[in-house]
Amino acid sequence: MMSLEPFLYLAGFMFAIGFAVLVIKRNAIFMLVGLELMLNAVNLNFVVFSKMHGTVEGQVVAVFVIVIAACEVAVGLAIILNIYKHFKNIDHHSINELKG
Amino acid sequence: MEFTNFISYFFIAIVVVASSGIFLTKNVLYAALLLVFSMLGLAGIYVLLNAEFVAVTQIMIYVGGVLVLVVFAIMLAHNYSGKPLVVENNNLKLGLFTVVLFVGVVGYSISGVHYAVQKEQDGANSVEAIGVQLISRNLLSFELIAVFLLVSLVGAIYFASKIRKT
Repeated sequence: MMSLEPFLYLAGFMFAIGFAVLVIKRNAIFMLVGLELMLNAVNLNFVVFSKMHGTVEGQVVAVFVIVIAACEVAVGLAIILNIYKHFKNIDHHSINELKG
Repeated sequence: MEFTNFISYFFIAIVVVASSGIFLTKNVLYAALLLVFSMLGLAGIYVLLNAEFVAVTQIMIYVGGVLVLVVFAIMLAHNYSGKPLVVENNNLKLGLFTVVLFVGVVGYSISGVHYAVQKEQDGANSVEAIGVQLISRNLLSFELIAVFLLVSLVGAIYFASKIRKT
């Protein structure tokens, strides 16, 4: 079996890319995609360390993280649809008033 | 062994290329499709790491659920005028600086650690072990997350259905 370090580097790279997408893109759906990448990078770390320790604890936590990611996407997209209905736009620079 | 290494690097390459593509593209729909590719590559990596249950969950929830939701949102939350859905960038220099700094720090710390030799997995069937863990040691978090999922999905449906009424 190969060493597990390449997977750790991959997780760090994915987290950085997700953060970059979250910060740089001016679109709410792009921001959600970046968040998904970051959550998946953390998940990969959990699974790699679970493999390293020879237990399934990390995999259980990874399943929990996947469930929370699903919740986050459902609620986030509902909020995005409401914002689009109100502002006719999902560029987060145009969303600058608290009470419509 | 050599073949397993080759497969691992193949999946790693898929994930790297797909996630870099998400960063480089300006089209929202391409980003959603590239997210599918990186999720599938990650599922392959999970299988190689003996985490079959996580891999199947990943494919079912991300590719089957989350991506469908994202594509629906792209269709519902954009004006269609025949043009591609192009997105502007902002904070480009500061964001790239932060990301390069992060990659440097994380890469340096990963390369500096001496990892212990892997232990063998106890028991070949990890799915059975995960089931036992979920119902015994992690029972409270399992129940809490079930309630959390229910509440957040009902809330999302309520939020989204208010659009029609008003």
